[in-house]
Amino acid sequence: MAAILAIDGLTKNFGGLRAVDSVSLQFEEGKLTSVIGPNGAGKTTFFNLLTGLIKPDLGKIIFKGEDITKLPIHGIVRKGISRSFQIINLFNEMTLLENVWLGVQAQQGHGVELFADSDGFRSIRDETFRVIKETGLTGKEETPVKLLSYGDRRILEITLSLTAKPSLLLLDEPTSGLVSDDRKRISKFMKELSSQLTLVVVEHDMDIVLSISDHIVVMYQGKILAQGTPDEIRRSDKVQEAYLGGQYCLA
Amino acid sequence: MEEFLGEFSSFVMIGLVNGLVYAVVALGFTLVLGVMQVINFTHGVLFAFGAYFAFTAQRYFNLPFWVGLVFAPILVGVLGIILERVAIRKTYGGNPLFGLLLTFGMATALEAVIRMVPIWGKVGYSVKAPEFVAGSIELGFMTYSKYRLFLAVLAILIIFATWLFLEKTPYGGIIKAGAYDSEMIMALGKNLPRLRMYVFGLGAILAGVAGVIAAPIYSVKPAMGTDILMPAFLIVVLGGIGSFWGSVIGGLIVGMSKSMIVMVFPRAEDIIPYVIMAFILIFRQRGLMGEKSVLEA
Amino acid sequence: MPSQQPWRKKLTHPMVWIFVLFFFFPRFPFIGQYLSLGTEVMIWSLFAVGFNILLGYTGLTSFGHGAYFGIGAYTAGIIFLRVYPGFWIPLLLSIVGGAFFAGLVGLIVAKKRGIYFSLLTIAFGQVFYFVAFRWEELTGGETGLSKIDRIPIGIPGLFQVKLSNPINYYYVCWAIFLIATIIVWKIVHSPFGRVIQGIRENEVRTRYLGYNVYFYKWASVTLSGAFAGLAGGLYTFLIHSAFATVLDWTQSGNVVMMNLLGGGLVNFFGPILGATIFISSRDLLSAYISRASYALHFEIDWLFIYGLIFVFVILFIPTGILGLISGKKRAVLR
Repeated sequence: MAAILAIDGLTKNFGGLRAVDSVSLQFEEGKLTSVIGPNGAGKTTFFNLLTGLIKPDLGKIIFKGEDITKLPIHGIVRKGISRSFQIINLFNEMTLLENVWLGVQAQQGHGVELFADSDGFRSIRDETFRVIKETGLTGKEETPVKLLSYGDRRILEITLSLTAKPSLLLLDEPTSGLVSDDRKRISKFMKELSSQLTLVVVEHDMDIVLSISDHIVVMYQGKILAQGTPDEIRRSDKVQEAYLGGQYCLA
Repeated sequence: MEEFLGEFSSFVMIGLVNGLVYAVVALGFTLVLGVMQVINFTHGVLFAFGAYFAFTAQRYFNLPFWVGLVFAPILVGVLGIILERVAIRKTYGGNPLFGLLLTFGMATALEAVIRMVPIWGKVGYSVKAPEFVAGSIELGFMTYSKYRLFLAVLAILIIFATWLFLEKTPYGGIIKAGAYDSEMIMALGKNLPRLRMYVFGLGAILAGVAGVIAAPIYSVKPAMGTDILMPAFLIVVLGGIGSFWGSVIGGLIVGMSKSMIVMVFPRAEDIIPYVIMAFILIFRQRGLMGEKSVLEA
Repeated sequence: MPSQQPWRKKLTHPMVWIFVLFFFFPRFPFIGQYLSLGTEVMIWSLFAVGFNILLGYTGLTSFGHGAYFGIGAYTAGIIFLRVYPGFWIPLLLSIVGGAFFAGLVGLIVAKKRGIYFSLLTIAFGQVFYFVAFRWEELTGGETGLSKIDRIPIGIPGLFQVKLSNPINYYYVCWAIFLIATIIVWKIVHSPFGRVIQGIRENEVRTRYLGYNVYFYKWASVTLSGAFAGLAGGLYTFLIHSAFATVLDWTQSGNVVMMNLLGGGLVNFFGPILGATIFISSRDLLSAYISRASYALHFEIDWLFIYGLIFVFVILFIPTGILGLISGKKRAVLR
């Protein structure tokens, strides 16, 4: 299987701190890769680098054979990489409908039209309602996002990143703060998505990680500590050691 | 030749001295901007109050210069803290337009107060330099005003004292860090409101003391606050927001460029610093010494 | 955003009755005679509504838009006096002038947001002030430009409207104000309008949806600059002159205050209300202040009251009058 995303020697320093240290990695197309590691391992910084929020000091990022290292965020999104956020990052004062609409509108290539009536775009309207239906949030379209339940907002967080119709989706702690039922819901959702696109997921819930991942990458202090199949990682001594004293049990 | 050198060096000195005054003003301004993310329009009128307090001390109470030098900044600092506590602090963290309009309104009202105070009024005054530095001094090929030299020394001392405070004291260290990242201050668990109040007070003191020392060389008039504030904006953009050396170097650049351009193309005096600012921004988006800060985040 | 509403409801839409009010204003008893004031209110309302594209909808506080108003004012004056003594051509060019320089500054300021954005707009706004002041050959320096007349407009052979007659000029401004407001309405209800509101609410997420945020911010600055220029041009023809004071940061502060006061942060029509109150009370206020000064035997400086009003509004009516009426706690424009 081809590598949809290839990273070579990615490094980022913040002052004296080396947040991401010479990371080289390949993500296979169509697979679900989980990135795990203790807090401060550099996972979110890694995502920020991949998606253009921050620029690396060293290294290259190749997506589908193209060097995207220097592209701005919207450029990378247009190439087909989308991402959700660890801390919910929505348009809080807008309604659910307006949130999704904005995403769909972008994907369909609109936004520059100054004089067209926004409500008149049939294709955006239809697609928006379709997306909302698919993610099970029908009926809540007119609710301001800040009034939705946390679980719904977490779903919307992922939904919004899907409106760009990416081929590679990065999910940053998608189940953070959720109760068990909602976790299962999202876990199932991710498994379904995995059949349609390439997923890279940062997760702390080891049950989920071990059940849905095709591949696991372990990060520690900005470096790749280990990677492999769920079985390999479960049995790895290195990984056990890194998690010693932490809250994770890889039994 | 000697005449030219004399004139040239006189322009250089004037530029340096003005630049140093700008630097002190910009320093106070950038601290408040960096730590509280507030564009403080009252900074200019606080500068004016410093000058007016010094003027009053000299003209009405016949007090020696150093009394004004010590007490005027304190009074201005108190005034600043009152403004901060009563109103300005309510605008922190919100949409920038609130802080902007509030300080703008306050500055307008305060400048009007200056015009309304019976002994001050609308005309300009001159403040006399202290006796021991009155008159001029002959330095080789140039004749130079002793007061301006004295002012330069004072300004350098003030800048140095501020630097000492920021670099060498623990409180100063917190403020310095806060100029880049106020979230860090909160994480350190320090009393943020009180810190902000002191920072504002420090800014006001710097404005006030600059007003006192600049009073003898500028005409003391109500609009002097606005006149000094305009360069302050451009200096913090040029030098970098929240940056100590950015303000100092920026101030000197502005002072020097203005006086140098007067020699060849006087009409461009007001504009040349902006041209320089625009150039710097093209190559260094955050100003000469600016760092990425929460201000852009 | 109603697009399919029964026509009766459409009649009560603010867009309708506001312009009906302005249309019949000259007929109002007592106040209807103040045509110049009425015209000025409409000109500033136009400025404020266009400015709200940037302030209320995109969420960027420019404190330097007085410069584009001034550029529009000077452009109209300069073109009239030196190039073509007409009406439409200087006016058209005032729009171009405002848009052009706003676009130029926009290239730099659109990269920033929040306080940094505001700071840069202040700095750049000042340059234009100094240019107007110092470039005497072009702008008349301190004395400014004068004798800018309103020549008759119309289609030769068919009809002629003498703009020198204040009532005619009032209605021409009314028509331009109406058209401009409709254009702004369309802009903020278009796909573009959705994007800039997204930028206001969450700039990072808007980028992550695939929008080139820099472009949208730049466009917002430029568009609002165009409206500012138009307002400036109309103003020059109103007072037959152009002075450097139209460019200083007091004007920039004024338009921000108008938008805030009326509730531009929560309602499309807020800026119009704000401009109306601001401009009309200005004369009223100075009259009261003179009387109070006389009574107290102490001259109260008008700017003192002016400044205090700013302070009062920020502290007590931050969502503006329309915000107060509709009970909005947070300034959010829909």
